[in-house]
Amino acid sequence: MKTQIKLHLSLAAGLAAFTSSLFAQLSIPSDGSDGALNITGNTVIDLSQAVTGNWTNNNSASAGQGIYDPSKWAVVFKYSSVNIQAGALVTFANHLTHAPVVWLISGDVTINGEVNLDGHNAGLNYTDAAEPGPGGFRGGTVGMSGFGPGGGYGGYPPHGYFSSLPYAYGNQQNVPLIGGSGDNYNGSDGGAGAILIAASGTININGSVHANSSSYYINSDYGQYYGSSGGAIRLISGQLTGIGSIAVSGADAGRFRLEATNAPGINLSLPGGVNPLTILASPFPLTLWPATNAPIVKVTTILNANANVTAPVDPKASLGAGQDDLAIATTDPVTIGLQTSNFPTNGTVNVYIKSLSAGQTVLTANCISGDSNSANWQLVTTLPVNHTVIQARAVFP
Amino acid sequence: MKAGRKWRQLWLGLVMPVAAGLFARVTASGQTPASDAISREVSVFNYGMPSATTNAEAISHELSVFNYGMPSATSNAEAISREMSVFNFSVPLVATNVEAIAREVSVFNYGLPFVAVNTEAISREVSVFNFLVPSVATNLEAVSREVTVFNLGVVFVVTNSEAISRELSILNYGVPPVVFAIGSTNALGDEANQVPFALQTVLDLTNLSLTVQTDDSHLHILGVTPSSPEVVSMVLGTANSNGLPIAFTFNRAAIPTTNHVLAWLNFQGITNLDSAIVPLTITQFTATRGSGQGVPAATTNGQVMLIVRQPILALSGTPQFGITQHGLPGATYAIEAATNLAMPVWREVQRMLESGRVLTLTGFTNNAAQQFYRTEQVGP
Repeated sequence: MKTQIKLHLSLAAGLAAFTSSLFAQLSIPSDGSDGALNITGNTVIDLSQAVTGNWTNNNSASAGQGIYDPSKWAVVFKYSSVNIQAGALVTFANHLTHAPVVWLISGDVTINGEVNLDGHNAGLNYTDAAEPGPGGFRGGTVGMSGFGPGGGYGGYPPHGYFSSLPYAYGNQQNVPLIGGSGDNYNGSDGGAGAILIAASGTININGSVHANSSSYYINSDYGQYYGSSGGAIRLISGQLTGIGSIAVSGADAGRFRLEATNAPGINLSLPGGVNPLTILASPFPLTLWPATNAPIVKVTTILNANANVTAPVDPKASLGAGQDDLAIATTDPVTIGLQTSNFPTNGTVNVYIKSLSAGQTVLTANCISGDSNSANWQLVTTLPVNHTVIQARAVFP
Repeated sequence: MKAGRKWRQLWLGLVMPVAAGLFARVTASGQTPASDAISREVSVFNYGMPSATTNAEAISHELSVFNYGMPSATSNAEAISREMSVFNFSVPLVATNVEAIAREVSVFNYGLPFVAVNTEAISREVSVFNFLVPSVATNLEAVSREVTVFNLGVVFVVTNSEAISRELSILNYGVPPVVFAIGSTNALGDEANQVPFALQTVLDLTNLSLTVQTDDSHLHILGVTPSSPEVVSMVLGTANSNGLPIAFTFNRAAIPTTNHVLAWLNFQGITNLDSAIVPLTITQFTATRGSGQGVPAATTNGQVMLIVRQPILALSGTPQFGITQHGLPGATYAIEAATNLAMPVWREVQRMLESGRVLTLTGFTNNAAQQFYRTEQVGP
């Protein structure tokens, strides 16, 4: 597999080198207001310190802390350059929303050390959901399925899916940026995180960037995989070089994507078994975020005679005491309201309901009004008396 | 002719000695007798015909001629000199023996001197291509510049529509974790009175707010008096058509877990109208935990039986068919019943003394599908 990748790479690199002069210079939208990131020792970047606002804002007043943009669900750092020395390890403390990380660099990136977006593991004596890497989804607690669209166990499926059928989600472009799903099998396993590193100059990786599952293994008797899924890594640069490694391993592999106008001498060690392989592609047109007409689905309301609550615009899905986005008090059925945009009304909207006291329930919502531009959907169900996390996935066909 | 003869003699005289020398080796081989005077041999070369030519011929040097075609038929003479190089020694050579050797000068004689009478100028060459068809185009056409496009293969073409929502967490308490009630009472005339705000919760509330709606024409709210230790502060808003806003700030650590009186709502009746059941309705109730989370609550409205002059009958529900009568203490009331209101036939079923402000009437039995009651003060 590795040989194939290298062959792929050399071809792509050759083509890219050949055609580099045909492209305009790559310009990543970064004002460098987070300064230069120079890592010389083990460092934890605390994403919860990010200022909430529009990612395009100048962040000089909070340089180095990044900007959390709720509309993008991402913590965005706009560095002038990034340099991670050999032997230095970069990890992340999650934002409250578990948003993924975006590094936009006006200059060059050199990673001789290690960037770690792995999920975390809570072991067997767990009561809280294991934290994912930034952009990933939590592991389940006792009796609870892992979080995320492919979250597993607590019953079925057996592991956190990401890129494999039948629960595959996301796309090979990694737009939107999204990480791996969690799991709850012999412990709570958080899904791996997701990162976009986009540099106008060169990205040179001689160290490693990895978004791996917290733990996973294969039951050889049944050929089943257990554990959380790998995350997502996307690199965009004017030039991509290096002999380091990229990894997105998990019970179900994550996704990675490399985009560059030029890739001379690249010989990265890349993960095998990733489906689909996306080795090297043109960054033109430059696409950082989902298009304005990209499909959107939101959980909007929980209603019944005793409950009438509206979801916040920027939910955090916390499960701590008093931290839930919404609180209701009812044992009667409730109507869960959803809204889609840019999505056909004959599509399918599945709602994943994961309660702290039960496994996962997947229900299909019905379209009650609207059109492909904007439509309202709903389903009726009874929510357990406990903490519950609701997430919807709209897919067509 | 004499002159010609002399010329030949002279010519021979000059030539012979020379010829003797020149040709001696060829001719010095004859023998001579002793008495003889034998002249020296003289070689004579006969050139034949003297070089007296009647036809003069001269062959010039070769001369290259370039034919410019048409002669420069010009009446004006033109001559162009050859290039001449001149070396300037600068300081003249001063010599006592004057000798000067001219530098070689090559001169090309074009013959006629360059004497131009008329001024002439010749323009630079201009190349002209005759397209024949004049540039009058009837059809418009534009051809763009070439653009190179390289397709790296993998592009952003997503054929499937997919959207994944943000996660939303919900805590279902099952039963309301906050129970709040406004008490009820009766009031006579314009006396000041109060009803309690009762609260029960086990949550770490930090804020509680509500709006109390009432009948301003019958009741004038005087204020709210906190009575529980968790109340850190309280703010009364400005009463408007929606009611009176009230906001509490709590010390969440001091909240009793039992049902308790949080505060008292103080009011005063207004006596220029009839007696009335004045509602105390709760709207816009919110209870917030220390985390900022709003929590659901069960609320119960209160009321004030405001007795100005007329008594008020109200169903109590307990016991069954129970009726409470709110009247003036010390007054005697007759309770009457009828089975319809269209053509009512009222009959007295009880006569009672209102010993307090509330009198509970029991023992009624409905003998019809529906029964109506009324009360009337009969004394004193």
